[in-house]
Amino acid sequence: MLGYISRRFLQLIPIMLGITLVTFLLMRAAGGDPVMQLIDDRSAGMDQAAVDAIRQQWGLDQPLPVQYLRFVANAVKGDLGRSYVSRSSVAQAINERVPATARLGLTALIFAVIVGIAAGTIAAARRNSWFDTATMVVALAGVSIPVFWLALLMMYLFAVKWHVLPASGYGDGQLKYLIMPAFALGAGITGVVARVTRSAMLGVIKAEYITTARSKGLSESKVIFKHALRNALIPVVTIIGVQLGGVLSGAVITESIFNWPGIGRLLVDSIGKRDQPMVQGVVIFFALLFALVNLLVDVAYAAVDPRIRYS
Amino acid sequence: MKQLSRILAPAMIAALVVAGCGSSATKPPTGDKPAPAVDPAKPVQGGVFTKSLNYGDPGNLDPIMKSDVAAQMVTMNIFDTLVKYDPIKKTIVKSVAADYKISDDGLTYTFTLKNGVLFHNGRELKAADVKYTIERASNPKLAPVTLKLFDKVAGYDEFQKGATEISGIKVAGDYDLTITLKQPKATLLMDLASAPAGIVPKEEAEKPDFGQKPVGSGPFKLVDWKKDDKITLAANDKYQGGRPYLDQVVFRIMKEEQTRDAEFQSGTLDSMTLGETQYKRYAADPEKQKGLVEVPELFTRAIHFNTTKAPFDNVKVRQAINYAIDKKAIVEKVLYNKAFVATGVLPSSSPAYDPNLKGYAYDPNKAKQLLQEAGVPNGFTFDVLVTAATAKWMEAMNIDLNKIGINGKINQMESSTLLEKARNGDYQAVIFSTGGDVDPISFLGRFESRNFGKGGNVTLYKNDQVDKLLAEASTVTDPAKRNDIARQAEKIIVAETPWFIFNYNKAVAIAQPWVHGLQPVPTDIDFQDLTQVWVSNKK
Repeated sequence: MLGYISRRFLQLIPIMLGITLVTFLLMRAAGGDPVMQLIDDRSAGMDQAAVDAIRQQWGLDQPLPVQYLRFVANAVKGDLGRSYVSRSSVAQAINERVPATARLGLTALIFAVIVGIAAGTIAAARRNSWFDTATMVVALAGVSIPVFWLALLMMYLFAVKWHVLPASGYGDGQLKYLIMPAFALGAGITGVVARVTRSAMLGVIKAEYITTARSKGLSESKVIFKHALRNALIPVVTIIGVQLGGVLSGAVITESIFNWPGIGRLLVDSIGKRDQPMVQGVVIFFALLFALVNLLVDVAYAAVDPRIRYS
Repeated sequence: MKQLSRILAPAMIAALVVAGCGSSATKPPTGDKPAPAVDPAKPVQGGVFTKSLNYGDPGNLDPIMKSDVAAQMVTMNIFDTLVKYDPIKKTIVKSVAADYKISDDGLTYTFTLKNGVLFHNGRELKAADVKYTIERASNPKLAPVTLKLFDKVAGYDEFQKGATEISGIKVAGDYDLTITLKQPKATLLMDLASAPAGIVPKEEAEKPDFGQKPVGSGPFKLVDWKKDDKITLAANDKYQGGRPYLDQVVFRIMKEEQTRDAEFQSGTLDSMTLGETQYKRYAADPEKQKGLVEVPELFTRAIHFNTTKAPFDNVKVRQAINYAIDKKAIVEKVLYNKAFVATGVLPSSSPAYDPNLKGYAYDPNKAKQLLQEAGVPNGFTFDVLVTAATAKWMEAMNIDLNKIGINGKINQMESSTLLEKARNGDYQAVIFSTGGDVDPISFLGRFESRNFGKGGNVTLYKNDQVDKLLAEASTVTDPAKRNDIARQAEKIIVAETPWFIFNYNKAVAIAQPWVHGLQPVPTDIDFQDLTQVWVSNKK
């Protein structure tokens, strides 16, 4: 297992190099001359010597390959450059926002996993019951309703009409600020997890070893949760891994609507301001996160299914 | 868009008033609607005022690094300036300066500073700090937004070439300062009053994170800045102009209109600026409308024509478009009356506004006739650059244009890309709002040929008479004369119409019933003097 993980980490190197190269080139192609982005409205009054001085100061006078290699060398040390807007460290800006996004994303995900798996399992165990029907209708709604619509609806009901939750913001980190954004972000994932769990469970429940377990006189809850669920979890783990991408992209929308000071919002704002280094830094951060999550999902397979061995 | 227009006016960035200091020959209709300011109640000391900051996180609060609305809204409260512009009285007033004198030739400005003005770090502000501030703002190595702000000060050019100081700024003792100009500059006091000229203490400004931890001598000091969430300022008890009424000001960084709406309706936001649909809703609510503060802002919305490209190189085509569009209908139906129909370039809150200038009336027949004369009787299709916000304006205008065979092909993009294309002349027509200058000569600089492209004249319009008039005005310091010259130039510009002059923005803020003292500020309704704002018992 350890060997497998080490190999996967080594594979990350070319992947990340590829991502940084593509991001770097795309940003340059999309953004035009970085010096003009940097000095922007100031350029009108500047003579060429001053512009050249700034180009040199920011290392933008070097050929592109040199700039790229420098960027990579610095990125390895955790330095993602300086923002053209705030003139301060990109890595620091990401650092400042990671806790908010992590808090939101993890809460949404934990909520989705617990509620989704529980609802899907019970729905499968009680197939065709009213609970099954109701769960699947709610799950379908969760998957279908756009995040922004759900967010605005909740905001209207809980903040404007009933005054029970704050409409938006982070506050000082109190739980009440987290409830609506986490629910909005988690609703869709919960629906997906519930549906996948249910269908996986339905496949497993018919298996002979479940009949054997029952005939041995095990309680129904032991049969379902210990024997059936564990085997049904593989597709669920896969879908959770895939949905993590949904958490990241959903965070972009949720954070914007709920005024949540996370990385998603930083990305959107930076694109609007054409802050190349910031966009570059955030995209690379997202890519790394995604790659690591995928690795984690693969490792989790082995944990939930003893038949899977990485050697 | 307002940020865009500010960026588009680099040459005139803080060039403002003077013209507003004198009496105007014609009195513009103001349409101002100060709201709870007229409350008879006595101001109450204390409380927190929470206001939305609609434009995203400013990122940097060093006054010389950012000049957009978001940054200025905050920095104008943290930093103090030698003099201030009072947008209501339309005049320059003293601030850190206890007194100032201007020599008869308009070349020497002598300032005497107040004693005992303290920076937030406790050190006294002295004349040397003002000199340092101006030199820092003119330092090309820092690439500041203010680089050209003080370019008329004697010794500026040498400083750009590496001299260690600007020789035209002389400090005498702790409190006396003289600024000598190479040539008269009518807007120098306004430049000194602008937020980017906020006075900074050297020992703080030279710290690498000054933009994140700004220290000034203004009425409020920064106590907390949660990026993308909120900026909290606390009253400066030792403020030279007297302690503000408020204990704290919280700027909530909120880009989404619906979110601001929800916060305002739930009572957690004390004030916000409104968009068109919000305005329509709040203006129709008998209770909520009491909290509206309205002002014709100094911004003009227009289609800018590239006058070097066909068919807009033909003045008759440009005039035809002006006659073809029913501006009033669009203001009513698309902008929900959150705008005023434009008759000229200068908005009605400009001191040089000319009520006798009638602009172009809606006359499709005249438009057809002009197209005939221009040799395009069947009309044409042109590309027009818009943003998501302005696309609907063009769609509405197309209804009228299609009637005479013209069609504006909408090309929607991000405002920053649109800006770059506009500056580079890489467009046929482009829509945006521009302005912010109280000084009419600075406003009209957008039509001077010396400002082609990045200087603000994106239409590449050139008229010798306009150039001559505006060049003459640059050394005239008498406000009335400047207004007269502006009106003469404006007449020519309107006749040749490098812009389809569309409408003037009506800026609208709304406040909760417990908020008092907000003013209809025409430079930008977000630039409130928060020392005058107070809150009574909330709910």
